[in-house]
Amino acid sequence: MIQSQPQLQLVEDYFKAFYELSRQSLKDNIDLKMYTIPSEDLMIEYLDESRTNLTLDDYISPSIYKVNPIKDKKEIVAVDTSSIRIAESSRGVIIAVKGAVIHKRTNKKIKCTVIGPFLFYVTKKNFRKLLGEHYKPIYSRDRYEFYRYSQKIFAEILERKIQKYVAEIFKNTLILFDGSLTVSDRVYSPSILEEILKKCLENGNDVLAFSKTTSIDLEILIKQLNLENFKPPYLVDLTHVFLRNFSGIRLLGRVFLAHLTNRCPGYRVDAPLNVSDPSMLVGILVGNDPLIYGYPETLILAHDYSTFTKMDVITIHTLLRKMDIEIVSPTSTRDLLFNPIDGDVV
Amino acid sequence: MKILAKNGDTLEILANPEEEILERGDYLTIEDGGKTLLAQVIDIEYADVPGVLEDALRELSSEDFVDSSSIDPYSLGSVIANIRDARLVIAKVRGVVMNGELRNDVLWLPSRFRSKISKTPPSLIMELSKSIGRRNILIGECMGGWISITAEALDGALTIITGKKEMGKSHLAKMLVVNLVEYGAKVMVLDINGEYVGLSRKIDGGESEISRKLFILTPGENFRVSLSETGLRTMLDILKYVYETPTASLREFSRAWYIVEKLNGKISLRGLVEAISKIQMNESIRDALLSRLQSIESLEFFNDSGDFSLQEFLSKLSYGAALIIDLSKTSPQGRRVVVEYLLSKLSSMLKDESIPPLFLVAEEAHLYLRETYWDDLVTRMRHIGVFPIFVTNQPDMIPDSVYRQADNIFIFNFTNDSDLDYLAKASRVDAETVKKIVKNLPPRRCLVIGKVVNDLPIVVKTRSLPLVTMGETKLYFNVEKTYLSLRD
Repeated sequence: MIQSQPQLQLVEDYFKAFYELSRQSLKDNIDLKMYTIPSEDLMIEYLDESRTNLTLDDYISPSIYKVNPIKDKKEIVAVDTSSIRIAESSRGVIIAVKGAVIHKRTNKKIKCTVIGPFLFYVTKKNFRKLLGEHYKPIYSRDRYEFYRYSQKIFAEILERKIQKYVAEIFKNTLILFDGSLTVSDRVYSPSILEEILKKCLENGNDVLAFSKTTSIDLEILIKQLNLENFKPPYLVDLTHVFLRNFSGIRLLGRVFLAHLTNRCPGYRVDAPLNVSDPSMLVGILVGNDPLIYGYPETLILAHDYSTFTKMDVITIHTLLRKMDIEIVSPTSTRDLLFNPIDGDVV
Repeated sequence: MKILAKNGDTLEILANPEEEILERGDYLTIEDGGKTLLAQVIDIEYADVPGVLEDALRELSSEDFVDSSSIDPYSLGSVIANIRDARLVIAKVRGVVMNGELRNDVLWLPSRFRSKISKTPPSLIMELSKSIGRRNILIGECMGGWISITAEALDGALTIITGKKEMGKSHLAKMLVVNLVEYGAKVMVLDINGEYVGLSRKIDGGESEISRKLFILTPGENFRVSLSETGLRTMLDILKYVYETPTASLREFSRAWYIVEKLNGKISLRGLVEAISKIQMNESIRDALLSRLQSIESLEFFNDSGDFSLQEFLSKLSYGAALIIDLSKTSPQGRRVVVEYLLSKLSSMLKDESIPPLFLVAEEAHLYLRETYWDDLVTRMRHIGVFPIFVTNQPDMIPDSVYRQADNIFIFNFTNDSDLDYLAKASRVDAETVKKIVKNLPPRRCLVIGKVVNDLPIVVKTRSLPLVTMGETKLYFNVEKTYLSLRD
């Protein structure tokens, strides 16, 4: 069935309040001189992203499901978001968040909607006001930890908003989320994910969540579970392994290792608890969406369109300059003071 | 616009795509703290913006199947589009403007961040390019303002007008001729296509202001000279350079000349032929000389009964006159004979100071000027008072040494790289300026270099003349149309 497209105005209205919040934060006694974040720092943060490593107990024997590609036509919708710290000062940080919705119709035509970027000026003072009902007190050792936490929170708020939006607006589609269907007390408003999944169910949407940050050593797993004879695509149910490995988390779905193509890594895929036959769901995905390195193309596109480019950052700097905020590179001062006159950064 | 970098005399300036449209040759003034740097635009490129390759590749790979839209609350999309399309203006530093004067010796750079960059007002270009003199010749427009040169800047100078065909070289040459004549100069034009004749008429058919100052001499018709007027030296030059006569034959020719003069009291072509037929000399030399004299006779340029005197003619010319030598009906060899005669005579007359200095416009000069004359014209003859204006579409036919001595060069469009390389080597500005600007000039626009523009290279859109310039190429289909309409 060809789905009618959501109107752009409708999408705009949906995110109006979020934009208003963003606009208010930028009026909030913002520092007129802020420092860019050195790219080395961003790189370190990227490398430090939380990764989950699983260990398998000998006595657990996970179920393995063969996946058969199902050619029945189904629309695919993928959602992803990204965030970046644009500038910071001793008082606060400017965060930018952006998302993308990729809607692949059954005729293979793709509609991409980029949402954002939204800018937030976050300080310890206005943090509570900005989060409102979703506020939870947090403990941070230093302001950098606070800034990184704020970045995560605002990215998650936008991600859930977009997920909620697609769950409400689309019908009878397969929706792909980036991440997992796991909630913990640490994340913002865990009930929202439940609401989203409920809405999906109401509207006949199926959901699969692909996680890039859970590394599962495929080679070890293949050896341990004697999977040598299994040719991809297949799923390995790791729900129990997860429950044994992690405490304090709540799974809103079953957790699988999805090994979908040869010579490609396996990814963690979560399917909602109500899904009776997850291999069929993944079969629909494989039958309708090309896989690139074992990862769905629509989700790659969503990731691609939501990622901040260098150009985005330059443009946001331009916008901030128009708001009379001076953006200074902290290294330039450091270089000026400590580098030899002809020296490179040591 | 913001200065990005300076390498040598080349400035790289970042510009917004929405900035005012710049053309090659336009000038930019870069002001900072009361000082002004003048730079000439030679090219515009896309700026190397970070991440643009990734962006372009992403869009390219998805443009066929992805329909995208965005919720862009801060309208960053338009800013991104501007940044992605940012331009890099490549400009050449021409100097620092101090006290109304352009100084090349001052080392000063404006601030990259504080300086204000804008298109140079035409009045400043006019002021800085103004050469010494009060006889203005309005040649056209530059950056929206009128540009004049002075007749004085052409006086005593070597001027070259070059460019590929149908770009407006002859039009400019005619404009210079008309203005020089109006200011009282005497101009001789070697008109190879018979196109200067029309300067006597206005486009509306009326008589032009200079029609009474225009004198047309057609070799073989109203321009025939006697051998006595020509003189032995000129005849020897003609035989030597046009007919490639060996020295032994020239010696015999001189002997025959003196015999005829002694016997007849007057030299004539017929007398020479008779003398050479009769006097004792080697038979092959006799045959060679006779065949050459027959060829000269057939040109009908030399006439035994003719009483035309170039000296008298030139002396009688009043204040301001153009003497058009219409070579359009003359054979290639005949052209060379006439030119040899004219240059030889001019040289001796100017040396004797029997005529005042004059301008010599040589259209398609490479077709009839022998190699040795180039140097002669630009060095020796220039000093005695022949100020050449060469017009050519084959720049490589003019020796390097001529370009190096050129005071003024007007370069119209050239697309051929070898022509551009040649001009770039030889002209008075840097090679990059010539190559970048000249290659893209539309018709009627030229890069002007030299004294006439006070050594400030400028691109000028030449103005139109209200006269019949007749330089346009005759087209078959236009002729056919006329023919058909006549038949109807």
